[in-house]
Amino acid sequence: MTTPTEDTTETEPVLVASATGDAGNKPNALQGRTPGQIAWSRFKRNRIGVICAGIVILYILVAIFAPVITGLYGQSPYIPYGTRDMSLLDDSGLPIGANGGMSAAHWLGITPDAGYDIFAKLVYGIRTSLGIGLLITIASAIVGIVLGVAQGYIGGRFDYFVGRFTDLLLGLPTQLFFIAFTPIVENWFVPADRAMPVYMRVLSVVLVQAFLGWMATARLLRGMSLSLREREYVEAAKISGASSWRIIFKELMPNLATTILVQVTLLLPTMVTAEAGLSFLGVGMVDPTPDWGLMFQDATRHYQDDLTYLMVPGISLMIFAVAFNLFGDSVRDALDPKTIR
Amino acid sequence: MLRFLIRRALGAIVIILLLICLTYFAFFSLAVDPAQLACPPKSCTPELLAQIRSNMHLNLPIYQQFWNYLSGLFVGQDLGQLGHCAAPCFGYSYNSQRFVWDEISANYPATFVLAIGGAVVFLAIGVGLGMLSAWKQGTMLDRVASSISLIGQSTQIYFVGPLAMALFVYNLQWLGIPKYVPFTQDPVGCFTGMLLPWLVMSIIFWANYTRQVRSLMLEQLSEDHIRAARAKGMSNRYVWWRYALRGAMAPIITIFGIDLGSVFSGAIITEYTFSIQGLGFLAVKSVNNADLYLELGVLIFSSVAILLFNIVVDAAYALLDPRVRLA
Repeated sequence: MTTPTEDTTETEPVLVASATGDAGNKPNALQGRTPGQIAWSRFKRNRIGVICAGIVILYILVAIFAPVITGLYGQSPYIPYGTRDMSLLDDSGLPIGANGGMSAAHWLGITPDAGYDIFAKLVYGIRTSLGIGLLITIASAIVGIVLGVAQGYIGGRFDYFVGRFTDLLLGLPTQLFFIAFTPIVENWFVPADRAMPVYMRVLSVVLVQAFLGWMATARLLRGMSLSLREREYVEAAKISGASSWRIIFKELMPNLATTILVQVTLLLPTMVTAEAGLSFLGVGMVDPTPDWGLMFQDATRHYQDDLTYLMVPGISLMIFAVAFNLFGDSVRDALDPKTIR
Repeated sequence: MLRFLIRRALGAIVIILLLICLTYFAFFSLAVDPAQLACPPKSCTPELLAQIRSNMHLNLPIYQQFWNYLSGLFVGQDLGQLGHCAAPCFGYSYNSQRFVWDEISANYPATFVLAIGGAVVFLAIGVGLGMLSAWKQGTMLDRVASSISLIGQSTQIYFVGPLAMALFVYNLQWLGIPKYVPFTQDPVGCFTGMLLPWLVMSIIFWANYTRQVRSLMLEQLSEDHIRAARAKGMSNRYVWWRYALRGAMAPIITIFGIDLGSVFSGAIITEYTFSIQGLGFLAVKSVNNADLYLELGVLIFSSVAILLFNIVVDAAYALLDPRVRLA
C-alpha cells in the first residue's frame, strides 16, 4: 500500500557477517538468530515503519494515560466550561477568540454551545474508541481464528456449513446491521425502561461488531491451515500419534502466528473507525461519554461556523489510521519477506 | 451460463429465507414486547395496546406470527383495522403511521443512486490511478498515486464530507447543497445534486482498487501471451487495453462483488453526512424510535438488494472468465 521502494531482498546481516568474518572468529560470526530477531532487524531498517510504530505507541499511551494527561493539563472532559464562564462563548454559543477559542487554558479550543474542552475530550475520546476497538479486534480475532482453523483442519461438512455461513454474513450490509442490532442487543441486557450503564453499552457494541468482524480472518486462516494440513511435518506428527489438539497448537499455530499478528494489526484501525462511525450515526456511545465518533457528530453540526472543532478529531483520526495502516504493512514486510507488493 | 445463473439464484433464495428467519427471531422473540414499543409512550392506553396486538396479530404464537410475516412478503397480509397491506408487506410502522413498504419505497432510490454513482466514480478513479501507476511504475507519479490513495483510505466520510461542503458549497459556491432529485424528474439536477456525495463517498474505496489494479496490471504485463502479442508486432496501446486490462479486470470484478456490502455501508454514512433521505436515514430514524417493523423491513430489503447485485456481479464475472461457469 505504501510506496513500493523498500527492498526486502537486501542481504541479511548474518550472511554478510559469515562471508566477511575472519576464519578465527567463526563461532562468533555464525551465531544463529531466531526468526523473531531476524524480523526485528528487518523492521528496524524500514524507516517509515519505525516512525509509524512511534505514532501508534503514542496513541496507545495517550489512551492508557488519559486521566494522567488531563490531570496534568488541568481540564476535565465532563465540565461544560462555557456555562460557567460567560466570557468563553458569545451570544450565539460560539467560542470567542481565534480558531475556536484556542488559548493557554484550552489548547485546542472549546466546543460551541456547552463549551467543553476539546483537548480533554479528544484524549478521552481516543481512550474510549481505541479501547472498544481493541476489544472488538480481540473478540473477532478469537472467533475468526477458532472457526478458520477448525474449518481448515476438520474440513468436510463442518467446513461447508461454516463457509456458507461466512458467505451469508459477508454479503450483508454491515453498517445497517450495526445500526439495527446494537439497540436490540442492548435491550437483551437492559430493559428499555431502565437506564443503560456505560459498560453494558460497550458490551453490546463489542458483541455486535465482533459478530460481523471475524469473517475475513476466518477465511484467511481456513485457506492457510488447509494447505498446512497436507505438509509432511503434520503428517509425521499424526503418524507418531499426536492428538488433534497437539497438532493444532504445536504444529499449525506457530506457522499461523505471523498471519494472525498481521491480520490483527490491520483489523484494529478498521474496528476503531467502525466504532467511531457507529457513534457518529448515534447508535454507539452517547453523551456524556467522550468518544471520537461523538466528537464528529457534534462538530458536523457546527462546521459552518467553527471548522476548527471538526479538524481536531478529523486530523487526529486520519493520522491514526495512516500510521496504523503503514505500521501493519511494515510488520507484514518484516515478518514475511515473501510478500510481493 | 443459464445453469450457472439458476444455481446462484437458488442459493440466494435459501440465504434470503435463512436471513429473514434469523433476523425475525432476533428481533421479536428476544426483544421486549413489540406492541409496547409501537405504542406511543405519551398516549398509550390499554385499549390502544390491545388494538395494536390484534392488528399486528401479536396474540398468536411466535411461529405463526413469523409465518404471517413471511407469507405477507409475497402475497400481502390483512392487518385488522389497518386494512390490507399489499404484496411486499413488511408490516406497519406505528411511528410514521404508514405501511413499512411505503416508507422503504420512498427512500430506497436515493440510496441506490448514491451507491451506484459512488461505485462508478471509485471504479473509474481507482482503476485509472492504478493503471497510471502501473504505466509509470517506480516514478514520482506512481508514488504520488499510492500516497493519495493511502490518505484517502485513512479518512472518514463524515470528516471529508463537511470539509467538502464548507469548501465547494459555502466558500466557493460551485455547487448547491447536495440533495437527491429523481433522475426521471430532472437528470441534470440529479447529477449536480449527487456529485459531491459521490466523490466524497468514493474516496475511501480508491486505495484498494489502485493497489490491486497496479499489481494485477504489472503481473499481466509480464505474462507470456503479452510478450507473444508484442513480438507479433501489435501496438503497445492494443496490448495494454485489450490484453492486459482484460486480464486484470476479472479479479477486480470479484473484489467489487465482495465490496458491495461496504459500498452500501458507505452510502449510508454518506447520506447521513449530507442529510439525504435514504435507507440509512430511515434505519437510524427507526432505531431512535424503536420502530421494530421498519428496522426489520429496511434490513431485509437491503440485504436482498445486495444479494441480487452480487448475482449480477457474479454473472458479469462468468461472462468475462468462462472458466468460472464450470466450477
